[in-house]
Amino acid sequence: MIKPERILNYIVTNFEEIRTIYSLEKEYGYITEEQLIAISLKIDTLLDYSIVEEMINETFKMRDIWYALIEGLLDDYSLDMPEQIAKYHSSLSDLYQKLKSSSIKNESIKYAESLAKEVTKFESQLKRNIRKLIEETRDIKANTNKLNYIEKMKRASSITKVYLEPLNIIMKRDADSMLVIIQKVQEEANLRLYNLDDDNMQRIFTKLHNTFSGVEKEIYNENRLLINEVAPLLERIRMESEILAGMNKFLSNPDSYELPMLSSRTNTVFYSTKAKWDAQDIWDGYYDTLEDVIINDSEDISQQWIYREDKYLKQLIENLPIENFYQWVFATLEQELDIVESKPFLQLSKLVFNKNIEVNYTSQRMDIRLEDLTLDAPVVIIERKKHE
Amino acid sequence: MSKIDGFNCPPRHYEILKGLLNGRFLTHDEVLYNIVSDNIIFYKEFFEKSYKVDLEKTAEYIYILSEYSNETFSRNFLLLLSVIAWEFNIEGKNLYEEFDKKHTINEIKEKVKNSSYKNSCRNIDIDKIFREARNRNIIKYIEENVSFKFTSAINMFLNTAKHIAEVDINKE
Repeated sequence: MIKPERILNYIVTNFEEIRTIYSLEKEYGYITEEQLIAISLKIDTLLDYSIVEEMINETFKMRDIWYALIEGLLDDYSLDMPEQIAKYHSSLSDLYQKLKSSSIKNESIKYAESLAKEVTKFESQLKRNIRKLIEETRDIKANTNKLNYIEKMKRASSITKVYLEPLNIIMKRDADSMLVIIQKVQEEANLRLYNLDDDNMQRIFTKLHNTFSGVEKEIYNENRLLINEVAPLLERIRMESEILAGMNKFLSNPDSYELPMLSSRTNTVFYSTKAKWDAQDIWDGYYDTLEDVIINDSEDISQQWIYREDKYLKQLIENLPIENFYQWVFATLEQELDIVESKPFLQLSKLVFNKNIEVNYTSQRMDIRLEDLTLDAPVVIIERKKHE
Repeated sequence: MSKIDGFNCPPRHYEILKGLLNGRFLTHDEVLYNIVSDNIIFYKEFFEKSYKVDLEKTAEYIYILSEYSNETFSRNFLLLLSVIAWEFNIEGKNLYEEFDKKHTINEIKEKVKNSSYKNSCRNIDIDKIFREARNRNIIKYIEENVSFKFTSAINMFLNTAKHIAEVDINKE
């Protein structure tokens, strides 16, 4: 037998060539003699060291252990989950059926050991692939490959369709899902355990039960990872890409799409405690509008005539007696205002009702011409009030 | 027709009515959202019968769609948002994370200015549109007119973009 160190040493020395063999195996599933010759390693040595084996159709195949080693060293796992899982699904259910129907001791041991071995392989394959799937998803998320959004979307949806959905189907509690087979093996191991008094057999079935229950727990854990991490991440990537795709379409053609019409400020004006809002809305609308503001010349308030009873009563009393009250009103206003209009005239005329004067109406009448009106007024004599 | 004796409505009805008719979004973190949500049948009918507008409710926000409206805000805001989102994407950033962060108005202006899509926003007054977005409760100022965060109402615009992605204009 060739010393294992020698084989390892050979692999280390010729690692690049071994890697090429691995790549060919990975790509085609086999290696032709021509390809091997081109690699410049002696085919006999490769065969002697059991790195490759010759197939019946004269092609070569890298042996599983080396393939797995190189794959592991290069961390070069491909996402092959659905097919791989399908493969384990059939091998495990096959072995389970055989174990169930076998009553011969040696046969049972053989099936039990194969089951444990197979399920361990399945477990490590599953974990590796899920880790890879998570990595891939994170890569897409961080966009390390600088994919554009269409590529990103395609990649995300292909991962979802090709890997995630089949995996979920396999994992769910169907009559013959992977999980159900794993549980059935545990039941079978349990059943056997209680019906056996052979120590060796007990040990083997305890081990089988423990292995399978461990795998079941792992599956739940991995599935949780998938559900918690990969599924929402992929969903988000897909959604994000859709949003960007939509925005891109909208930007290139903004008037071709129907947009939701939101409600707008209502024009109804009603003053309330919320009027501040309205004011804010209106203010915002004009905030940046630059407009010329025209301010009208306002009238000088000091020129406006104001009726002050005490002032005019005093004037009136000082001038008593007055022969013609309305004439006096007109004259007083004329002194103060250029133009005498009816409004101040009538206001000042109110003095006639003052209780501090004596009013005598005569039968004479006269016209008083105001700016806007001509009044036919009686001639009224005002005298000092006689003290009673 | 039988005589109606009085008008019963949920609390803060006036505030709800005024806000929604003015195009404000009620977001799920607001008390008003809960009031409308608890009385959704009443409010849907109320708005439909009183104003002929549709009250829309999602798990995150409530708003009004009005076929009589002729607002241009949604168009302009979606244009602006699209340009910003596109720029985030170019920078390799996660859209949802970015829409969840605090931003400054100046940073947004800068992004628009440097964007290859800047022409799309040529006629948009960014300050003004953000003020309107604030009045509609789509953004919240952290510092008045300086920095802001989007509210969950932003999702209405993101959903619109998703919908646009699905529409084939050539077929319409």
